[in-house]
Formats: sequence, structure tokens, C-alpha cells
Amino acid sequence: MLSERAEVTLGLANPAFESIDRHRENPYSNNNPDGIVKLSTADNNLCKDIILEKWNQIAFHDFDANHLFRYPQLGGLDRTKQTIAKFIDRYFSPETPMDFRKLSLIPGITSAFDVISCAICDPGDGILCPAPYYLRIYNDYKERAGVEIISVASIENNELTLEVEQFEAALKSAQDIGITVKAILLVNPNNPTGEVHNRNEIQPIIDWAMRKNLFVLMNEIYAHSVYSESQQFTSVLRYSSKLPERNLLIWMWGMSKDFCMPGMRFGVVHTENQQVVDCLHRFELFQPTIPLVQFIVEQYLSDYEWIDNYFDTNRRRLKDASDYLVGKLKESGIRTMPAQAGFFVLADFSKFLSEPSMEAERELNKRFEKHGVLLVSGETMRAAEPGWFRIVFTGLRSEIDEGLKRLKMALSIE
Amino acid sequence: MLSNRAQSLLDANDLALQNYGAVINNKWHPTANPQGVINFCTALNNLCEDLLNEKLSSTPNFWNPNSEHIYQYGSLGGNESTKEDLVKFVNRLHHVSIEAKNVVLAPGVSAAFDMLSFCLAEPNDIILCPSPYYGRISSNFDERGQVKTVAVPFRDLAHPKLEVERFEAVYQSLKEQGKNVRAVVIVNPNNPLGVVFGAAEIVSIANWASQHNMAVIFDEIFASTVYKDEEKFSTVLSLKFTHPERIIWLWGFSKSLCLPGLRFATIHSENSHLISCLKKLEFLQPSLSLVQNVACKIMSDFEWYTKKFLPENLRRLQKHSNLVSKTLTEMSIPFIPPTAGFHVFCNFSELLENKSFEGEDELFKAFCSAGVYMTPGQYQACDEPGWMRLVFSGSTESLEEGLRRLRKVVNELRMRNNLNINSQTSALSQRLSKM
Repeated sequence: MLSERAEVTLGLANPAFESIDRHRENPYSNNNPDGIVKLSTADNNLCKDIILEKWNQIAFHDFDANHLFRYPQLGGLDRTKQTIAKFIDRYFSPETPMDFRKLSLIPGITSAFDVISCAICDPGDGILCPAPYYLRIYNDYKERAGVEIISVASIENNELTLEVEQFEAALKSAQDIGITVKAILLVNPNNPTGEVHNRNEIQPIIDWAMRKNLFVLMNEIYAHSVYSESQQFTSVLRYSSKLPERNLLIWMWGMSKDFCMPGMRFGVVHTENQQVVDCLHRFELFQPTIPLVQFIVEQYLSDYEWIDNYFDTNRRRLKDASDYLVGKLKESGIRTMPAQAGFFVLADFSKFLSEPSMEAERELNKRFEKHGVLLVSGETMRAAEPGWFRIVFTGLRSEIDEGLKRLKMALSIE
Repeated sequence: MLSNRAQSLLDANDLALQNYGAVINNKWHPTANPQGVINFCTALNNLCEDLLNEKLSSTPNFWNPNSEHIYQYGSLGGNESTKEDLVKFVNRLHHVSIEAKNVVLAPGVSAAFDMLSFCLAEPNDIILCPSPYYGRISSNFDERGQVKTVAVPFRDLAHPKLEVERFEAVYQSLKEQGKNVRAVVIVNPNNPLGVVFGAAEIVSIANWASQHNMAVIFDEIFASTVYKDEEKFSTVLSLKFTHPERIIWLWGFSKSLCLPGLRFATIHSENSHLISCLKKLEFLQPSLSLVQNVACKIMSDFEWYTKKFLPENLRRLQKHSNLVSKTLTEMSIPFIPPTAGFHVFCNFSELLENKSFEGEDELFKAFCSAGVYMTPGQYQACDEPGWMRLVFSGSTESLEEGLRRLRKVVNELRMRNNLNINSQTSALSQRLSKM
């Protein structure tokens, strides 16, 4: 009864969820010390208290129930988008104030990936993305839109390096096997490395892509989770008029990371390209943002004083946690890529592999699982070289300590 | 520059959406906007907002969603606890026994159609739907899934029945053209006709479709809006089919609970493969835990729903339905006697200046100019020009005003037509007398 395309989707592995399910069956806690330690899901638990405090101040009875009695405006309510436009103006410093009519609301970046790829790609088309990349990216583009994510191998000398030559080579390989590449996808600050790209690293790539008439999908979901004191984040919105073709830029952000609220499923897309805006609004019927969620988002995103304090505290806690994990790993002889943002570090376990192969990496991953600790392996993130693992540091300190202990046992380190 | 599918989306006119703008921006109000337009085209039931408001404001912490829901993703396809509450509610309401494992949540029935489009068919495959049908059906299957809807018109629109022969004929003709027909979609209680198809018809069509390896999708979104001859409606969940694993049931809060803004709907199927695929898609088209939370709060008060809300809702719908039926009868406008839903399907073909869809368009424009917006049959795959769907679930005031305007414009159109006939007749008799 199922279509072929459904069978293909059913057959796709879903490692992100496998990890979550495994953990859910037997989660580590103080009451369950033998449970599984999950350091694989990039959720920021460090500021739940602050978020919750704000939540408890929300006057929910102010929510206009009339929104429930009618079909919501496609693409998001005007007043929510106006609030978001002002938030973006203040916290992303675009060159010119955001026009709220060019915004589209969508229930999270996952949905945004799906809907954008339907708008700009036909099934079988390709999108270039630097690898290693956030592991759900492959599924988000493939499961329904049928779009291939093509890796652009980008780790060199322990750094994520974006180079036009690599993109050019990846483009050519794709074309050689008959894939029409329609876009590039950049995530800045980066997942899984935690690096922040400067404008002078990113802009040449964007320029190159636009001259090839490719869309540039810019995911800035970790924009306000930059904790390194020596690194500033510059949004692409600050220099978009200097790009060769603004109509090819599709920018996105959401509440899941910077505001620790993945369950809210709230994302926003901006583009000057009116056709893309129209498409996103129409498709939003199939993955709507709920007026109740929009109401909650407005409460958070319009309180600048609260936001400023929250961002400061969040950054401090992130830095603490990052430094702690990196320090501990270093003590055990495990080096990490220099992380400046996000909730994770990319650690190099290659010297612990029985041989330099993905097979050996899988073995090591199994050993970690057997010892009751879940990480994300480089292979699932399409790393070109074996041995990379992403470790999330935004959980409870006790859980991280337990996880480190188990890692050492698995690696037979004293 | 855009994908082919996006380009076709933008090129296609979504007529429902187009008119929606006009009725929203210039809504009639007796004192604030008496020149505004009457909305007889959007299938929203506003009759029980007072009851809903009362419920919402009297339930303590109704709007205080559990903050835990914001920190985590829910389970794929819906949280177990929500699905348990949902099946309990449905089982109690319809005296059936469905299981949570056969249920997936979706953010609305439109989204459910879109998901099913992907799961059941390839681009350019066909699904069949008895026509006239609700305009968004073909869009929901086509806009992203690119699955095409082919209409199966009723033999006698004034007395609509689901007949296997009609489906078989269309099916055979499509097979001869080399098309893949993957599913049948039936909306019951029906939109736009406002009628209920009985169990025997339903089972017949479903068994026929299953025999041809098709899935059979039943959209029962209007299930709790049967205000007359209630015993005629049987949910497919209670019926026996030759291939139960091919039967797909859809339902949601938009019509039965008048809460389209919550975006809460569900798909039921005994096909575990389909359920697995739908769960994967639900991650892309999520039913938020926050929403599930609110939905559960509403479903938990079964007494309120069945003893307070439902009877009053049905009473008000019946009252409006009776008023419209009476008025149309007085106006000598034929219509299909409605027993469910918010709407009645009326035959204005007598008023067409020319018996074609262009004529229907002209008529539609004449009605709009008179300040009454209905939905023309051509937007609903009707193959006979002149039919229109009239939605009567707005306020009683706006209904009365709309019917007043309708009477007036119908009289004017009749006079115009008579004048034309008279002038044609007199011209003819003049010619005859000269012969």
C-alpha cells in the first residue's frame, strides 16, 4: 500500500532518535546510577531555571482565545512577526531594519529545512554542506523532500575550514553523477565543531555560491550561544547587501538552542525572495505554527532587559561547562577542536582506534554504548576521517562526570 | 529558480485563499460595518464561541501549559499519554475500540492529507474523490505531494449516493490511460453537500477500492455535526471491511470542536508500515506537546462535551439549517437537504444567463457585489454549473442579513432574466407577425 518514496523514507536510519529512545528506556539519574548517560543530544539544560522563571510570569489568560476559533494566518500572525522583526533588528544588527512581511514562521529549523528544500529543490536535487554536520540534516532534507545533502569535507589541521576549492570540487562530483545542485547550507556558529566563522571566512563561499546561481541557506540557530570571550558573532544579515545576489539568501533562526526551548518548535525564515516567501507561507498550512506558541514567543522576545541578562548568564554557564569538559578531556589525552559556541565539542579519538577506519570507529562507538555512555560518532555526521565524536556538555555536572568516567573505562585509561 | 513543484504551487490559484482575504478584510457588522460582506463561504462554526469561552475561562490553569513540554521534543507521532487519552475519548464517543498504537497525530487534517499524499502515492499518481468535493482536497494532495485528484461525479447530484459503478467507470478509464490509481478519499459527513452516506454505501465503496489495492481514506472531521437523522451516520471505526488494513480514518478538532486554531488532528490505520512512515514525517510536521496538552485538557471533560457542548451546538446548527432551508424553499431555489455540517449545497442554475462555468462565475460576481460570498461549484469540482455552497454557521444576525441580501439579489436577477425573455419573446413575436 505504501509508495516507493515512503519505503525509501522508512528505510532511512535515524540515529538521532535511536539514541533518544535507547536513553529513554533507562536514563541515568541519581536514583538510577546504572542508567545510560546521554551526551549526544544538543539540549541546553544549563538555564532551565531562568527560562522557567520567565515562563511562570507569563499571563496566559491574556492569550486571545479567538485565535483558536479560526484558522491561523498562513505564515504566522503579523503581530508576532513584527515582534520578531524588532528582536532581529536588536540582536542581529541587520543592515536595514527587518521587513516583517519577508518573515515566515515555521515549527522549528527541522521543518524549515523540509519546507525550504521543497520550495527550491525537486526530488533528487542536491545541497552542498560542510561536513561533519549536525546529523539530522541528512534526514531533514531527504525524508520527504528527497533532496541529497552532499558533504564538503572541511576539517583541516584541527579546524573547520571553508574553502571555495572544496565546494567547487564537491559541486563537480555531484554534477558528474547527475545531481543538480541547487543550494549550499551553512551553519554558523557551527554544529558539531562549535566554531564561529568570521565574515572573511564565510563571505567568499557565499559569493561563490551566488555567482553559480545557488541558493545560500544560512542557519544561525546558535547565534546567541557564543561564549568565547575572544570571538564575536557576525550575522550574515549585517552584510547581506554586499552579497552578489540577495534574493538567493535564505536565513533562519529558532528558539530551540539560544532559548533552550526545543519543544516549542519555533523557527523563523527570512528572505528577500518574494517567491520563496509566498511558497513558505503556502506550505505552512501543512506544518503550522500555533497562535498559542506565537503568543509565548512574543512574551519572551519582547522583554529586552530580561533577554540581555539571560544571554549574559547563559554565556557564562556555557563557557564554564565547555572549559570543564575540554579540560577533563585534555587530562585524559583527548584533544578537541577549539569550540567557541554551542553546546558541544568535537573530540578526536582517532588515536584510540584499533585502525584508522570507520569500522574501528563503529567498534569504539559500540564500546562506549556498552559502557553506558552515548556520544555522536563522526561517521553519522559524515566526517571524512574516522575518530571524531561530538560530546555535549550542557547537562548536569554529575552526569558529565559519570560520562567521562565511563569513557575512560571504555578507552582503558586510568 | 524555484523547484518545479513550488512553481506549480505559485501558478495554481488557490481560490479559497483568494476569497478568504476579501471576507476577512471587509466583514459585515450590523453597526460597525453595515456595508461589509457576509461570509457564507468559510466553513467555520462560530455558533458556540460563548460555550467554548466559558469552558476555557472556567477551567483552572487552562492556558498554563506544562513547562516540561518546552524542554523536550515529544515522541514521534504523538506522546503516548495523548494517544491514550484520544482513543479513550473516541472509543467512548463512538462506542468503538481503537488502540493507541494505530494512531498518529498531525497538525490538522490538511497536514494529514499532505502526509498521506507522500505515503500512499508517487508524484502524478491519482486519487479518486466523489464530486463535488471540498476544494482543498485536491490542493492538499497536490501542492507538495503532487498527487492528482480525479473527480467521480454523482449520478444524480440532487440525491447523492456512493455507487461502485460510477467509481469503476472512472477507474477503468484511468487504467486505460496508464495511470496509477492509489486511493479513494471520502468525506463523511460530506463537505460540501451536507449529507451523510450510510454504512452500506461506505462499506461497498471501501471493499471495491480495497479489491483494486487502493487505500481508502475517510475524513470524518464533521463526525460530530450530524444534527438530523443521527442514526444514519456510522463511523468507519465501527464498520467491518474486507481489508481493514487499507482503511484510513482522519479526524480533528477543527469542526467537531470548533477549534481550527489549535491544529490538532489524528490519523488511524491498522497498517503498521503506514503508521511508522507517518511517525517519521510527523517530526517534520509536528504536533506540539503544548498543543497535545491543551487537547487532552479538553478531551478529559467528556461530560462537558457530550452533555453541554455537543447538544447545544447541534441545536444551533439545526436552527440555522432550518432557517436556510425554509428561505431557499420560499425562494424556489433547489438544494440538497442538509443533515450535517455547517453548509448546504444550493442550485442557482436557473439564474445563469448562460449555462456554463463562465455564467456561474458571472453569477458568483453578482452575489459578491450584493455582499454575499458563497463558494461556487467550480471551485469544488462540480460538473454542473450554477451550484454553490452556502455556509450558515456564522452568527444568526449575519445569517439573516445574508439571506435578506440573497433574496434581494435573486429577485433582481430573476427580473433581469424575465425582461430579457420578454424582450426576446416580443422581438420574436414581432418577427413572426411580420411573416
